[in-house]
Amino acid sequence: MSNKKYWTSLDELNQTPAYFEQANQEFSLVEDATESIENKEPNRRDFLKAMGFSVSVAAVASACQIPVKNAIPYTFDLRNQMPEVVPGVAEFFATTYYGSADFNSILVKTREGRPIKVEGNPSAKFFGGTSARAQAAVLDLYDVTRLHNPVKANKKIDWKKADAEIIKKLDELKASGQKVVVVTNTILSTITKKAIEQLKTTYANVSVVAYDPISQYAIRKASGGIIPAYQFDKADVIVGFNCDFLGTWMNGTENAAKYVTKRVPTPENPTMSRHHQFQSSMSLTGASADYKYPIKPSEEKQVLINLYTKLGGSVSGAKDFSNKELNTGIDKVAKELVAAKGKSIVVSGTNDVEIQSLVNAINATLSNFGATIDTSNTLNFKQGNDEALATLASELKNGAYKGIILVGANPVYDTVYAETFKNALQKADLSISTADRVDESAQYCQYVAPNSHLLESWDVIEPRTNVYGFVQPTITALFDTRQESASILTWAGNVNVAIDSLVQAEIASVSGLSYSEALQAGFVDKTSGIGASALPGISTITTPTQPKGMELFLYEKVAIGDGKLANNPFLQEMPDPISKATWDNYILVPYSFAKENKIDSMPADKKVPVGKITVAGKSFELPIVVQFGQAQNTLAIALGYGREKSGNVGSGVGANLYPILKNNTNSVDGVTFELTGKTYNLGLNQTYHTLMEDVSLPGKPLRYRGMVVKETNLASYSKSETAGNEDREAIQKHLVTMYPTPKFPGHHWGMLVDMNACIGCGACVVACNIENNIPVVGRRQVFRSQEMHWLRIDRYYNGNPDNPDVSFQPMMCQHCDNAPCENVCPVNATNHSSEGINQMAYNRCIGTRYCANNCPFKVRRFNWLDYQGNDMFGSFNDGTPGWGGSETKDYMFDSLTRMVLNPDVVVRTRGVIEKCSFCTQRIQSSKLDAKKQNRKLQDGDVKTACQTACPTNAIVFGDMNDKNSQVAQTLDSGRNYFLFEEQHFLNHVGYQVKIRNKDEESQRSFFDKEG
Amino acid sequence: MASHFESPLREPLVKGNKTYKQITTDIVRSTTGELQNRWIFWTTISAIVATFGVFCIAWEVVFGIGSWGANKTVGWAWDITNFVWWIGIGHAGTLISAILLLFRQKWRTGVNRAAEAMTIFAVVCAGLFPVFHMGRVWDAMFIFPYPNTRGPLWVNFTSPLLWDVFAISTYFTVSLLFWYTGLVPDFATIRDRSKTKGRWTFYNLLSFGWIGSVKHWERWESLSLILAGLSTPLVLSVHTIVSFDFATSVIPGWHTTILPPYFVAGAIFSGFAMVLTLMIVARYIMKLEDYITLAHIESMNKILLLTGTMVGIAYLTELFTAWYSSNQYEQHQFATRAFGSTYAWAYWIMMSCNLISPQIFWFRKFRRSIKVTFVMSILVNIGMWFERFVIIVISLHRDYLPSSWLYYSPTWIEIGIFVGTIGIFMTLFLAFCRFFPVVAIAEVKSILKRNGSQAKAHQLEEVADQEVYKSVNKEELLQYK
Repeated sequence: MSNKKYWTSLDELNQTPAYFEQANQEFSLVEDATESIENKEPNRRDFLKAMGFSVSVAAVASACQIPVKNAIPYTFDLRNQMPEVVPGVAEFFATTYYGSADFNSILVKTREGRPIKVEGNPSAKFFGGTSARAQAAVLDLYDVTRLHNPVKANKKIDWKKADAEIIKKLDELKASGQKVVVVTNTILSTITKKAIEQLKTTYANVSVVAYDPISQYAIRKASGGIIPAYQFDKADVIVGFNCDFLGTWMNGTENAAKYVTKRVPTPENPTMSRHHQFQSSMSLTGASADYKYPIKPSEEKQVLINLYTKLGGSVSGAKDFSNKELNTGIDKVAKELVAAKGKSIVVSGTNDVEIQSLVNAINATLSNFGATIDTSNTLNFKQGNDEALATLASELKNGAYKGIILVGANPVYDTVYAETFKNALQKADLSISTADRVDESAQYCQYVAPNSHLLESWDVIEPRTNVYGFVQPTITALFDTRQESASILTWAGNVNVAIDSLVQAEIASVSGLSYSEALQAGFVDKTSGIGASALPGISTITTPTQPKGMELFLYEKVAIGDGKLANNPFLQEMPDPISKATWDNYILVPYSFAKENKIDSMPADKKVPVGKITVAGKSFELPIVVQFGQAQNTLAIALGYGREKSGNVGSGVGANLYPILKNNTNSVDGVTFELTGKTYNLGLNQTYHTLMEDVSLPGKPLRYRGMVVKETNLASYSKSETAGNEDREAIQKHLVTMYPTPKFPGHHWGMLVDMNACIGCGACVVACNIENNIPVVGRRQVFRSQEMHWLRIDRYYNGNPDNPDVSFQPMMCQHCDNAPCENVCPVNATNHSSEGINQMAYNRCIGTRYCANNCPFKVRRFNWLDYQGNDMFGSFNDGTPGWGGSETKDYMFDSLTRMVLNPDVVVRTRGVIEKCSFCTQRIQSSKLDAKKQNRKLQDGDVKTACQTACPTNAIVFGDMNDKNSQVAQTLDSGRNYFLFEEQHFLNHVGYQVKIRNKDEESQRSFFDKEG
Repeated sequence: MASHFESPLREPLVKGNKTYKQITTDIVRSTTGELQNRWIFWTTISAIVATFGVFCIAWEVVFGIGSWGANKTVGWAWDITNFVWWIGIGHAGTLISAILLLFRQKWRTGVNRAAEAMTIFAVVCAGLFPVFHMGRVWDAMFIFPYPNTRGPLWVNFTSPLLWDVFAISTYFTVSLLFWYTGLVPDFATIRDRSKTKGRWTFYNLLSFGWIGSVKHWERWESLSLILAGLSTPLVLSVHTIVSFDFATSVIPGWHTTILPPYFVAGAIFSGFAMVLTLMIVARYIMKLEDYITLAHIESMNKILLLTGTMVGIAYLTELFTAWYSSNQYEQHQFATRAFGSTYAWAYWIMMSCNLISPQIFWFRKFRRSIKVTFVMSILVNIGMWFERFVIIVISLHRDYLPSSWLYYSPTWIEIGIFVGTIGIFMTLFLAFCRFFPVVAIAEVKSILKRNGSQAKAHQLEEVADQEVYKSVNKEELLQYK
């Protein structure tokens, strides 16, 4: 063996420290290499390499044609031009949503200049909630049916020419002394009102008639021209008579917000208001009531007379009903009203002067004016005058008006005088409509001067005296439209009117704030105190007439309203809170009537029978839906349907009942009904067995119904905080598992829903749809139960089916920590985040639907068809998936409608599962905001879309690990429970036990009584 | 007299006093196109039905699962019902070839070939459903654990659907190998009898140049035994794993531990029913009455009786468990199945077809009646389809939350796909009958019981017919018989 040592360098030979250092470094060579690249100037070889590569890449790239896709057309330096607009960052504008009975102060979220979402304005307090209609308003902006320019005789015309012609005609009419009428619905805009006044000043021959499709003129007539403002937060006893004050009556959002302040008892303050509702059909408001009394529309006056008599009022005609329950009910109501003198509200939604004077008299007897009812800061909704409309109709018949200007009114559709208006419009020398589309009336007008959408307009809205909402544009007008006030001002002689400066001046003057402050607030409430002026007393009360035959109650649906919003697919597809039907109006029949006529009250396959009603010589064939809690011998049908010219979504949906709306009262008698023997495929969202009886053992309640909806009454709750929720302790004790419980050291998101605060209005459903780009699928798909809603409101009945109690349960992904859906996915497309969110990787999903099957809450939704972007399907109401479907009732198939899509949320492709994500995009953006501000995420930083939409704050979302969060604190309350907790899904959407202010415990099920 | 005695009490397994040559002739006959007209007629019909099925599948792929009646509550309906039904049918083949081989049940040789073919084709049909029930069938490869650039992102090994992928592909592979192994010597037989060059080459290729040497036979026997050993556990595992799709879920009616044995028994039950249906038709069309005898039918009917009763007991046990467990969800589910207003009819079809009607096979007369057996086999096929429908659709349509309870009814596309798979199945089966030996020639020959006197008599009969002996008195010759 030789002992020769080989060495590679002198360092090695000498064993220097530098050598050891280098030899111990594993990747010394690599480091050297990088160093050489970093330090050295590029040499000739590097240059040639780089040149060779880039030239060949350029050659290859230029050889292939790369399609140019137009994204955001910001071709200029954005930061210099519009420093406030940052791509990817949302901008919020305070503005106002309004309708003839709605007012919401809102924030509009815009992204890259597009309005994409409506949020409640938190600074507007009671006015800052939203309704489903307000939520859906952004989609109206992108309605493809809207006119793109002014129209004369169905031909495009430019504004200048149209204005000149109109002014010329107006001048001629003035010169010849012919009368001109401006027909409007309720106008809340102070600007439009002033504009019309100016038109009247310029043209003395102009008169104005305002009407409302669904009128409350009787209140104004009975109350000396005002509609007092009912303050539901001040009342301990509320008695409603066919008045859907939480929904469609008027000012629903403010009423709901105020109503709920007295409806959620706490352990410290276990009180809540008592709500009695006398109703002909189950309404949104009735569903929240503690006591409900089904009465026929014709019985309402008698009930009020009896009640007034019992309260000591002097009115003749008191007569007991044969229905003993009703009599005892009236006694009970009278007793409670007396006990709550000055702290009660009696309110009726019936358009009948005698009824309204009785209501006023009762409220006066109870000293409610000035206490719970404000007569000075009165409501400006429903300004329509029924008498003026009737007079106008008879004058129009005589040809009294040569000029007709329709400002936001559509009398050919929504009045009984449709024929008269049609003929008058055709014969008039000048007929103008400011409708934003060629609607039923505008089609007979010479000129259509399309109004801009409210998100494109400037305005000042005064829903209540001294309450102002400001409207500012959130986008430049998409089309060549002009807001109606500007049009009217132009015709009144102010050519080149600058509506924006006009409105800005008005804002500054009414708000008392600086212009920019007012605009940022979007809202001022300058009311102070409560007006207590006396209203006119009762004149004569005639004896109630006996109705002939069956009665028909006409009501308004929470989503569509009087029919103006019929072309909004989100609203059409929003399930009615009570009937859970979409896309149609239908005959609601009471349960007793269905039993007599052998109508299946719960058709499992949604093939409902079709009935034919005949009233005043007019017949309507409509599907039948059985409505529990509806008065006997009474049918009910929604108005606002049967539009012919609303656009590609709403036209031809349902039947128009306005032609029988005599004297604008919401009921008619002498109705005959027959079954046609046909069936109709109705788009019901929730079908049968909502009474939760055991389907296999008729006569027994569903055994586990108490695991779904827990409820109790106020008396029990005041005794024990865990009333109705007693079993939870035992369940929790038995939750033993051999597996480790999942741990979430960071955030752990959870949601709580208060079933007492939830009134079921559906604002959250529409908000969720818009926030998360959830497709609208159409009636046919809803009928096939293939709808996509991530959030739904389950409605359950219990008790007597003729007069049941109602519970609403918003149901979305429960984000179980032990989620049954997660372990069954073969490809790991759904999994659990480190913050307790059950997440979906859409790109990974192959659509086996196993997760949807294994979800106990059935909240996972599958993209059955290509909803967003495939025009192969044509119409979604009539077309079949496949070849065929030629009508184009489409949505999302055009680039305009797609502008409403939220860029933060992926649009899902066909064949993947999707579901509630707890608005993960909002969580992410709030986290980033907090990170940028170098602070911890606080409670309230993240609010989900459903949470911000809720007018009654029924939904709370937050971090359960944050002990100070509202969620964590409510989590331990005695009322909180999780659905099917004993199954150990570890779900994290909690529900608060429903508490009814009833003297007796609510019945477990009506079968307890019957069976 | 005879050197080999056969009990007169035991029926011969092959009837008609066949010689080895006759067996070959009888069975190879169908592959030579002798029965062409009947075959063309039935194949045309089957192919049309199969084409319609392919059309319906294409429709579903082009337009989406929305063309089906499945909905937000009932996510699986006819698709998975059909899948489990076909997989169940695919059980009889392996059972006959593997388990009966290990148990030395000689009677199996008459039917095993066709039963194995049926298994293969049934699994092919079954496999279509899990693939085409996917919303994004073009991404179906995600379900295989292959190295990828997404992390790599692996499949979810806790999902029973993934277990299905492995179970079914294994089962298909082993069944195919087993079937083909059996076919090799028979292909050689056909090759040896072929009259054209092309036919010779074709069957020579299929038979891997089999020459029938002792070595070939020895290896062939060992391979058959090994494959039989491998397939035996598969008979139990495949349907056990299919049942895990349901048993490991949380849905009342699915979440039960009885499902694996219940599914296996049900699979054998439905498999034998389908074998009976096909055999009764095949023995008529292919004139194989001597090979597929009443004794075969009777044996299989006994298995039907056994497995049908096992399945029935499982049904009753489920009811008992629901009652005894006091689990309110389970109780509700089973009450709904039996008495609910929506689908109780399906439950009672299942009960009467699967539990009640097979009880007539306690009687020998019915066991040996072709007509009764045929009707019964159809009834069991229907009953077993409804069993899967009951488990899948009824359990799903009313699970936990009453708000989501829904009804399900199929669209013509779903029905078309199911009918189409029957067409695909029949087309494949008929092609098999036309080109492949329907009965295992080599194996049947191994069970042919013949003694010297029988053979001699037969030979004499043949000799008597020959030209040379025309002059000799036939009677005279035959006296030696």
